[in-house]
Amino acid sequence: MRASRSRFSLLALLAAGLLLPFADLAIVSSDPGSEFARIAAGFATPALPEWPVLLSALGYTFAFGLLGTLVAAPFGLLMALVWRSRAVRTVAASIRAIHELFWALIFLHVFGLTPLTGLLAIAIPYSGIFGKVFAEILDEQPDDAVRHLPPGTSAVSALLFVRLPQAWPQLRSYFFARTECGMRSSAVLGFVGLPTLGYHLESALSYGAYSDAVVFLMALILLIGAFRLVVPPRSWLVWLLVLPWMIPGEWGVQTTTLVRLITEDLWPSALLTGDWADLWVWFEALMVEALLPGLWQTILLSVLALLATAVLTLLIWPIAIRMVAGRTGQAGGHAAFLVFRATPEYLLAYLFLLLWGPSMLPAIVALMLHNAGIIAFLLARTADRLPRRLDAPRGLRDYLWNSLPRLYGPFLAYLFYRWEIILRESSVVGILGIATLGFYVDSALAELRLDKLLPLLIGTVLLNVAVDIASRRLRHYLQLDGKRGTVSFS
Amino acid sequence: MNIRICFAALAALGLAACGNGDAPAESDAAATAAAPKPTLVYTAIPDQDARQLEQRFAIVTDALEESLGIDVKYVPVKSYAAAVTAFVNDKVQLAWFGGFSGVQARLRQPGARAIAQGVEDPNYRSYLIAHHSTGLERADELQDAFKGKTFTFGSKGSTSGRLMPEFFIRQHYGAAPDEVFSRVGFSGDHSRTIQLVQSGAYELGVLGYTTWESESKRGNIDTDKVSVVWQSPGYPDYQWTIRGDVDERFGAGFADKVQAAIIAMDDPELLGRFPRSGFIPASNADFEPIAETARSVGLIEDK
Repeated sequence: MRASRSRFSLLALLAAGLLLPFADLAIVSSDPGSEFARIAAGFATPALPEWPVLLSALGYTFAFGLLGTLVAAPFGLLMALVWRSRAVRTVAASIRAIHELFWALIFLHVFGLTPLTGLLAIAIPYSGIFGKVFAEILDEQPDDAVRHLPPGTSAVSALLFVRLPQAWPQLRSYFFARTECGMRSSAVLGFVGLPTLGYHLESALSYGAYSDAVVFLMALILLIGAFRLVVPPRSWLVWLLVLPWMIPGEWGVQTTTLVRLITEDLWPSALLTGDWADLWVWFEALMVEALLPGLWQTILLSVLALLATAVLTLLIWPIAIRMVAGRTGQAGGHAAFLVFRATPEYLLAYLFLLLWGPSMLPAIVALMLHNAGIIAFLLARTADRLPRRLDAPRGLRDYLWNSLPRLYGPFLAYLFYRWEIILRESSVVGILGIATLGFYVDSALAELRLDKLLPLLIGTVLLNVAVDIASRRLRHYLQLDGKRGTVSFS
Repeated sequence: MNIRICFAALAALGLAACGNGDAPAESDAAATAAAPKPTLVYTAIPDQDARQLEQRFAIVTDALEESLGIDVKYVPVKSYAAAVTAFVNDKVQLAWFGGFSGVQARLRQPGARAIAQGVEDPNYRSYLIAHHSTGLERADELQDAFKGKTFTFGSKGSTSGRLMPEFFIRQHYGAAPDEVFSRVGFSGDHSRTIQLVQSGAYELGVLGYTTWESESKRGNIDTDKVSVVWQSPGYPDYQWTIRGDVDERFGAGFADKVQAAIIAMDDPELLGRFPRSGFIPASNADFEPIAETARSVGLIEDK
């Protein structure tokens, strides 16, 4: 069986080699060196913004991140409890397939800049993600306890008093990991206009004010690293009740745009007038000019980013294994992984785009760094816990002959789990100008050609579902379906 | 524990700080009038560096408050589409639009009126700029040497940074921009187009000429690295547009009052920040050519 895994890995690498010529990997910028010098100089001389500006951005980031995650969790749990229903699974898959930035763009159009926009943009996709992961956790529980229940115990009692309590520690720990993602998502929503840290980051970066940008970036990394220490989880319920009153702006929204969107704007005029020939012309143009190229570029980017992630993970993962790198080396490795993990990939892509100009390269590198940071962290932690003989080899020999072969299965499994997430990100970096689906979604909204929106979103959802199925089949084929430590970072 | 309290306090303070913007305006309104007068809220397309826009519209707000005698508030937005949506949703009643965004807004808010434009706006132009490494020289026509270069527009919803240049490019080369150039991007706004071409991220870029002129005057352009290589023919562009229902809310003749107030603006500091030499009346019909062009390149669906 091992043989088929290595054969699969080689085949995958070969496939990447075949795809490479199709990808646009140029360094477009004619002078990346001088831009890099400006960024480095700016980052070395942080300029503190006015305190109210920084604090309000931190406050908003925290508020939307925490509220969005807190609101999503119960909905996710509800969906996980009825996961058998195909309808529920379809709904969950569809809402999580659409990235929070797309939701934000849509709600910005519908409701404008209101607190509800920020809340829904995070809570809706997060409900779908919670639903899936919670369902998996429940499913992975051993059923010994349930089998020992007296006959006639109702399914509801079994769920409430046995299955849920049994799975609770894992559900809890996933929920905590997810709040961290919530902070990151909330910050990134600023890139499209919400008043979070990303708003100021984007403004500063886009005008070359790198000294200002670095302060907001550090604030974000600090927030992600420290919010659970300074705002303890037991107080979150209080925050849930208090935050909505503290966010300035009205929660009430006008529904005029929503009604107009649903009754008019979403539909091509040919459909409304019933002109079928014209409708075909409209549809064909949309397919040829936007949907098909967008789908292809999104698939291409996601596959290349996934394989780049795999290669980088194999290279950096040993740095954080104690038996390989020693205590000091391990600490350094973990610190580096933390920075890549905490920095949103969207922001990394933005930075690399500034340096290298618009091609697929910045996006691949950004997705690779972020995801390799996460997978390497998880694998190194598992490797440290492997039982070893007293006379086990150390250094590179441990990695090559012990850790790597023993954990190659989990390594592949993590990659397959990340694929869906990388795909979501691949389509959303299109907003930055790479011609993936996000580029066309953003164009439809920016040009107010909302008739193009629905087919593009449906295409995004179907692509996600296809990748989900492909990843599951491959996992099954390669016999990777065993237990995994359920720790996912977005 | 102390740190925790500090953080909580900071977060609270931060949120309170962002509320501050509205609070004084409301209490002022309550103090000056027994029956609270409605506040006129306006926005503008984010066509250049946000910090410069804030300075520009702080002065405009003061001028409008003084001549209209009511509270006026400027709301910044992050995208052209957001400016249009805010106007249609009545989040703002007045807006400084580009030619195309104005057309989009008036299509969606029947009754909306273009009331004023800059003296320069009936004959606005785009500049096509090039990085020095291309070795291109200024000429009167779009050049064959532009073909195959990397090229950036401004915002996807911009008139001078997208719609009109795209129209001229299609007309001259008989092909879509992505067929003419090796790579086509959207920088987001005019200031950013200058930055991207200056840094060499793109070889060519196109933008509204007023932003080039004002950045140039401010000394923000490195003329050793980037220069203008083509100037487009003239077309109507920026204008102030007001919602059709303001007279009902602010009193009869309110739209005309706003129009008069804008046309009367003569503070050189204010005008210099646009930059415009003055404001003149405008009407919806002035922008019909823009609407037609937008239809012809497929940016407005024929309905």
